[in-house]
Amino acid sequence: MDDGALMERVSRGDREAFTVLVKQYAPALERFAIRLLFQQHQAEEVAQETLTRAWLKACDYDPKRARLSTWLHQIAHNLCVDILRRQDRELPLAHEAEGGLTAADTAENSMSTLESKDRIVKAIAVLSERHRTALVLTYYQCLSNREVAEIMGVSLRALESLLVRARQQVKVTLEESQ
Amino acid sequence: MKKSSFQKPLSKTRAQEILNAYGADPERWPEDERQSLIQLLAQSPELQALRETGALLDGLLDEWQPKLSCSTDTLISSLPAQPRRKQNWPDQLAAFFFPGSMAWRQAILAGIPLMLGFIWGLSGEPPEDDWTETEFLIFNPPLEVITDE
Repeated sequence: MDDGALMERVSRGDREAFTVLVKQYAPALERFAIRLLFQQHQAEEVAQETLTRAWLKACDYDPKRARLSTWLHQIAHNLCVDILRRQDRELPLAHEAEGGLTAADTAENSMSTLESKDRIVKAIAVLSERHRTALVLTYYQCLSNREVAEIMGVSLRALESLLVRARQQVKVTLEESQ
Repeated sequence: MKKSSFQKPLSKTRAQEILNAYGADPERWPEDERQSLIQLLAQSPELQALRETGALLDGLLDEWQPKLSCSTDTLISSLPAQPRRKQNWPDQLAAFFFPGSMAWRQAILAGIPLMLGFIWGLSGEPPEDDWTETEFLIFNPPLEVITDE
């Protein structure tokens, strides 16, 4: 089912269509929010709030203007930015991220992988919100550069500058932590 | 989205910008420059080295795959009521006069002008003017009109 048809059904209160929407997009939205906020419970709330807004504002979605994925990420991004502004404090350290690394994680992963993952999370955590958003949307969320630029409200040129800077900074932080 | 078959040639500087911004995976490169960059990469060892550096960072970034709670059942079961859809005045009028499915409503609305035209056509009186003389003059113009031309 294409985006327009799905949202048309959702806008008519079709819960079955909404369930399809949730199954399709909830994991991606939650992952996106975790990578921006570093807090599992907040990320879960963002994903749920994004989908609730999609349910309530389904009539506003125009498939000619944007892909559904772009529209949903835009809502999630705005929610994450609101939370980050409200917090107005430094992000938690990497090992607090995503609810902390559990004993199960430790058992599952080799020490080197764990360290490497820990380092990459820390390197992303020190990025500014703009740089982190650009990197996460482009790298992890599989969105095109045009879609990311639209979500962030920047030009393609500005997006590329953000990406170059973000990747450079992650690289430097990783080198320093070795 | 339709893909363009033509892609303008890429400068080396632009190729470096793309690799520095988007990394090594062609899937992340701008769609309209992807083919040109692939072609340019095949010819340039310098760009290939830059791509390999990018691939190392990509590999590290790949290691962060957060675990998800996936607790969406409560969301689906506790959805708030949707606001009523805004209707424009023809829809409101149609809904008032013809309650039923949207397809029937639209068909009935579309048929109204047709019906009105049909009724108007039936109710009109036949023309009383006699056009015989005019018709005769059109096909048999007076002699002076012909000679003037």
